Amino acid sequence: MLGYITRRLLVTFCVLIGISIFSFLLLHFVPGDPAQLLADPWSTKEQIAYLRHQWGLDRPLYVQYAIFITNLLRGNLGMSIASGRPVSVEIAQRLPYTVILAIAGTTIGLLIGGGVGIISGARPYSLVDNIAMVMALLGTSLPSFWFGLILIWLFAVKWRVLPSSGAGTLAHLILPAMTLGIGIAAIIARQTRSSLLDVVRQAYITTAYAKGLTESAVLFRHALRNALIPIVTVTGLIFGRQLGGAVVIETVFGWPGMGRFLVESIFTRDYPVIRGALLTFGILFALTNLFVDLLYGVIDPRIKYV
Amino acid sequence: MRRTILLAALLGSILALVCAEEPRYGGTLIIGLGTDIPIFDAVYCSGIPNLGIIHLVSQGLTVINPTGGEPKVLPGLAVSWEQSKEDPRVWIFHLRQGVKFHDGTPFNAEAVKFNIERMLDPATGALARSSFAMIKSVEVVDEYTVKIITDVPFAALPAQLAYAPLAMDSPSQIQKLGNKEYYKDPKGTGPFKFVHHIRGQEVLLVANEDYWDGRPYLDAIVVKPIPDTAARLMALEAGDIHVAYHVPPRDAKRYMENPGLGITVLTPPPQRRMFIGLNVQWGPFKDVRVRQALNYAVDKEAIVNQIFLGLAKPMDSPLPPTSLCYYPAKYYEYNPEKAKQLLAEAGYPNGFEVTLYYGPGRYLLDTEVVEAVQAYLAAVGVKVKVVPLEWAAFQAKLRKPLEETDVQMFFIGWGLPTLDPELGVGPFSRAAWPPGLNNMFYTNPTVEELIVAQRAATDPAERCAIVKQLQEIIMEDAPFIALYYEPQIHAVRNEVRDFVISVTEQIDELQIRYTWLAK
Repeated sequence: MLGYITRRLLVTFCVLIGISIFSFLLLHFVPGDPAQLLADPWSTKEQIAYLRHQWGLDRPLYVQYAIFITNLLRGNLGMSIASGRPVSVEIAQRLPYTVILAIAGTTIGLLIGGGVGIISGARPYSLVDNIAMVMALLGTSLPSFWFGLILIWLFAVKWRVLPSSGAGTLAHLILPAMTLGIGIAAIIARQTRSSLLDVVRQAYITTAYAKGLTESAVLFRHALRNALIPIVTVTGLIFGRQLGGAVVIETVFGWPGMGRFLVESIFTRDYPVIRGALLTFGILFALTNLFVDLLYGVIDPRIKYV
Repeated sequence: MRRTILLAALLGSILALVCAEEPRYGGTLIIGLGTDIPIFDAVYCSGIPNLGIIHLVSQGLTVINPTGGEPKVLPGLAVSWEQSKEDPRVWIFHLRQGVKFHDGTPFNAEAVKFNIERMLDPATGALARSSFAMIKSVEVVDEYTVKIITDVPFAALPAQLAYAPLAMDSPSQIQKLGNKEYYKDPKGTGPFKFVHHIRGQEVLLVANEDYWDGRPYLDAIVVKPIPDTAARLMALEAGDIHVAYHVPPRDAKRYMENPGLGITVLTPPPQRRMFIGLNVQWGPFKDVRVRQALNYAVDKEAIVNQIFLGLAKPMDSPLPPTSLCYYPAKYYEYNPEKAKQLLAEAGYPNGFEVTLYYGPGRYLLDTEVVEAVQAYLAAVGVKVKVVPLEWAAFQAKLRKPLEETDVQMFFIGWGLPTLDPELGVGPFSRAAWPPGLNNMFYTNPTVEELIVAQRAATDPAERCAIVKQLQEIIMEDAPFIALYYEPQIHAVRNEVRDFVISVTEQIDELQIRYTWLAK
């Protein structure tokens, strides 16, 4: 087990190096000189050159990268060009909101999606299953900005029970978490159902019924446990992706998370922030995957770490 | 007769007394902006509406008249100013007396010198430093008098000092926190004091009890970023915010037609000129007849009425109507026959093909406008290939020098927050070729001379006469397809009284002290 974790950590480390190089180079491939874009429209060539020098954008690429990595190891992600503040501070301010929203949304998704999926899987092709699957189809196809606006219109404008946007209290979290959760629920419901359907066709389920176990015992103790692996994988991937920030939902609800921040930074060509944010996403995604891998062993003892 | 007038006047004043509502103290005004304020320090902040919020705390020496009317420049922390008769490069500014920053530091000539020098110091890294580069030095004359010397005679200086990136901040607080950390606890002289700025969430300001123009009616102001337009308007309708910046014309009409919603539409005068720039060094555009033809080919009235629902105004000068010395120099009426005739005379009876770049999403209804122009030009035989680019990529293209550029046509809007012709017609010069703003690569010897002459003119009437000529020549030379002045459309809930958004797109920093909430 320990060897496995070490190996996984090593792989994760290599992935992170890859991410850092990739995010570093990516920005040099896109058109547009940041110094020129940031300067005032009336700036002279000298002023632009001065800005470029001030931000180290005139140094050779490998020097820029070496500086970047050295600073990174010291926990210094550089200064945001747009705000002049440390990138680490900027990220630290937004990351908690993204994590809270991701946890809330994934939890709602898991509860609703898991529940619906189990009912559907237990009674395939029944009326309940058909209705649930149509709903799930709608849930995956409806754009989240549309669904979010409908929720705002109902709960904030019409009934006036929840705030329309912003963050800070639990009431602010409800609508964005619901919007996010519904989308996730739809995916998880479909995954749970198909995964469960695969398992209930297995011989050991027939055996369990033959032993005279009740349906719920068969379903939860024998079927669901074996159906969990793909569900956990999908949930892990979804959760990891949410840690990158839900751009559309954050925009609609004025939620101060990472997604909006990254998009704004891309528009203003805030190099240090884009790098820092991509790196943070990379780390979080890699760690989530690592966690999911380890979770497999807990769920299914047959998985051996060799 | 005289008695009747007196009686009427008496009746009128009684009526006014009965009907006028007494402003009341208290309440928190909540403002919804499209973006978060990048940083609460004018020197490092971008975006005029964002800077407008900073100016509620840190004020300017001068203030642009919010109505766009005369005089264009109003006193702010400077109460009066004059240009030296002997040496027109020297300006004297007389400061408001007895004003204190929020940390108790007195506002005086030293503070003005400190703030202007902070803006100009390359080490500060101010984004708008070049906008103030004409200032050579600042001298303290006495406690409340300051002398500003420019490198060349610069008639626009009082207007330029109102430009939002320059604000008066407490020198002792900047020294205490350091240049880069000052945003954490800024201390200005404004009607509101800074409490906190939670990034992406809210800015909180509270009333300054000791404000030099008296305590504001409002207790506090909260500013929230709500980037999604539909969500911002729903927040307004739900009463979660009182003011929504940037409202699409369609929603503005909806509010105007449904008074039951309790929302008033604000349309401060425009100052942004929207046009299609033509690279006058490229192929067919070298011929002025072609450029004029394209102007005749586009129906500006239809664009204004169909796309902006009548809320915009067609462009008839390189300056906006709110600018000092504005003159409606020439309006190209819609005349496709004349356009075809001019094209034929220039040797293009069957038109030509051309590429147009633009950065969709930057301006109100930009894609709709570009598509309309494309259709109008197609009708006279000019086939326009429209290439939308991400904003930064678009800007990068525009900054390319003549040898490297592949820009033939581009759609852009030039703002003029100082309402002064200097920045309004200045960019039509050779000196402003890329990386400057003049992406039309336009130059005209007479225009070059007149631009220098208006800068040096000390007599306002003389200056306007020169600027009038400039407007006429530029419209006649048509380095662009003149389209319209972009409307400013914002909305406020009816309980908000005496609230003004300026022609500059900033909340008016002087009027806000008189803004009050009716419930």
